[in-house]
Amino acid sequence: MSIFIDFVLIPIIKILVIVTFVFVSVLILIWIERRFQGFVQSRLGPNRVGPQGILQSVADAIKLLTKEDVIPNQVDRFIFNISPIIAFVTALVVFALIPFGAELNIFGRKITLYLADLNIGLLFIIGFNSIGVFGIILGGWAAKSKYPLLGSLRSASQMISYEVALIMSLVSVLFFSRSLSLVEIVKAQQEMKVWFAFIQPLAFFIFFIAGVAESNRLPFDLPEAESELVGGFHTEYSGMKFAFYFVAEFAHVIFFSALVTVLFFGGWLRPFPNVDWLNFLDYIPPVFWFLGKLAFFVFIFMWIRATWPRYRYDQLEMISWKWLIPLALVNIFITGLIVILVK
Amino acid sequence: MSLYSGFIYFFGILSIFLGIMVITRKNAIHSAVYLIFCILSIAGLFFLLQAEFIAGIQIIVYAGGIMVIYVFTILLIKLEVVKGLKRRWEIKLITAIVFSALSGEILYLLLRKREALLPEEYGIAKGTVQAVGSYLLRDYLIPFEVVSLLLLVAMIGAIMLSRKKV
Amino acid sequence: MIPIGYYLILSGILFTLGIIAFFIKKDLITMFMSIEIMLNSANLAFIAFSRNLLSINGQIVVFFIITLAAAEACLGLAIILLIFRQRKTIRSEEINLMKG
Repeated sequence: MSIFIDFVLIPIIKILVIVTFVFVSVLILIWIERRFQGFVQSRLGPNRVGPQGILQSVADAIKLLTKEDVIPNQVDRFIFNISPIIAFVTALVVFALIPFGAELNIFGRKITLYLADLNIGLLFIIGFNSIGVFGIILGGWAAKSKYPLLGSLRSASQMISYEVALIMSLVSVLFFSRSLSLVEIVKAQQEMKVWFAFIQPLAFFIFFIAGVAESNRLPFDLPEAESELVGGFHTEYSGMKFAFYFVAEFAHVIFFSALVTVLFFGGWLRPFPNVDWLNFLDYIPPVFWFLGKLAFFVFIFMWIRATWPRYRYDQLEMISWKWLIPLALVNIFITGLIVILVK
Repeated sequence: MSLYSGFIYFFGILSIFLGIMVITRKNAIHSAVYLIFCILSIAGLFFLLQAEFIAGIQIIVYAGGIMVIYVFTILLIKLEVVKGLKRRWEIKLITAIVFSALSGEILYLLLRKREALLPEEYGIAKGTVQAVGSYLLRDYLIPFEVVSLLLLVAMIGAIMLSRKKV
Repeated sequence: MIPIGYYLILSGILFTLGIIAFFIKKDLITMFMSIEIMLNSANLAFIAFSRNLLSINGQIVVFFIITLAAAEACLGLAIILLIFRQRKTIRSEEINLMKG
């Protein structure tokens, strides 16, 4: 019975909670983004459905789910159907490893606030993130029309080049954490009493830029640049499949904010873990700190989107290959040198 | 049958099914999609065999890296569905011989020599990042460096090949 | 526990699939993919042996095989692209310039 509770019941409850969390926060994010962008660009934004338009995204979701599923004539059916699923599932799977907090005691039973703690956590997450690229490439190809194909070719090379920068920036963090498990990385920050963002600011900077590019957000949203490519890779999609792509994009935003929080800003730790007279902050539950930092980074993602113009395509490739990757390499070299010398 | 063996049978049968799908599709891009899933299910087997690091490498390099190159190449090449082209009879004969030899061997093992498939005692040789990494950088340092040279050579070769004028 | 022979049989089945596809397929890309299936089946056998013999060495070999596969795919596909550019076909039987 105890085995049943530990290995079947609790994981299922955790999965349900995580999936609900992602869906609800995606719905809220869509509303906040449209409303916030409205304010920044001195427009109104959606304000009709519900108070302040808060039910707008619920209405949109219902509309998308009940719409007719249009499949154009020329498409490759198998690929056309499977690629939104690839994008959607890979965007959700990675949340299994995000630690929302340390441990909770409920009814005398220790419950960890993460679904799994793998020894290869970071590798797993980055691997599934790079499988998510297939959703975009294949989706654009399967539509068999000009603009989606252009969008998917662009996105393929963009994803590949920024993935290199993303992984390279992580290496210098691993010098300090000495583990790939996300929980161990947070614990290493607890032991060192400092957030990794303060000892690796350059790595944080590179990771964040690459993260924005990986989740296809403005200034790097070339795969779906509205003014050039109509809708980019999802031009031919409608209804539920379009909703899959949309949810996957916002789930990516949440996921990268969570990853930045865990890797560079101490996960569930309170601010300034090295200042003793702030100890009273420990009484606030760790989950609160995690969600607070998460919300902050999601806000920065939106802020960037609302204010920055889009890069040109050659500029985008140049930023990655000529700036981010060499900088990350230099950072690895200097950090390694310092670590060896200090020893 | 425990849950563990159940998962192993599941991934094993799944990877055979996906392998058959890979080789029976007419369209190369369908094969590529099935191959991605086949590689992922083999990565699942690696996880269950406690080779965690290799499973991660399988996902990130094989499924996320190599297959992206495949799909990208297929996108650049105008694909004609290849059909109607008759194979010469020698090739058919060789295929039949190889197929019957390999499948005969497998069937022989399964039907007649079941005791050869000994149930061995498994211990724990966890392929964590730490274990594999320390082996790689201590006992296999020179092969590791040679392999990195190989990657460099492959990279330079690919760049040379893909220039406009060779 | 599942005996190691079962893993070897699984690996053998995958290898057979790969080699059959290599013989009967007509376009170069699918032939390359069948090589990947064969490499994967070899990896599976190595991992099963590594588990059985309680040794990490098998996993190291798999690491090297995967690196090799990456180099092979990158060079091979570049060559296929080159062939396609010059001869407008990737059918293996039409690439017979060296036949004399």
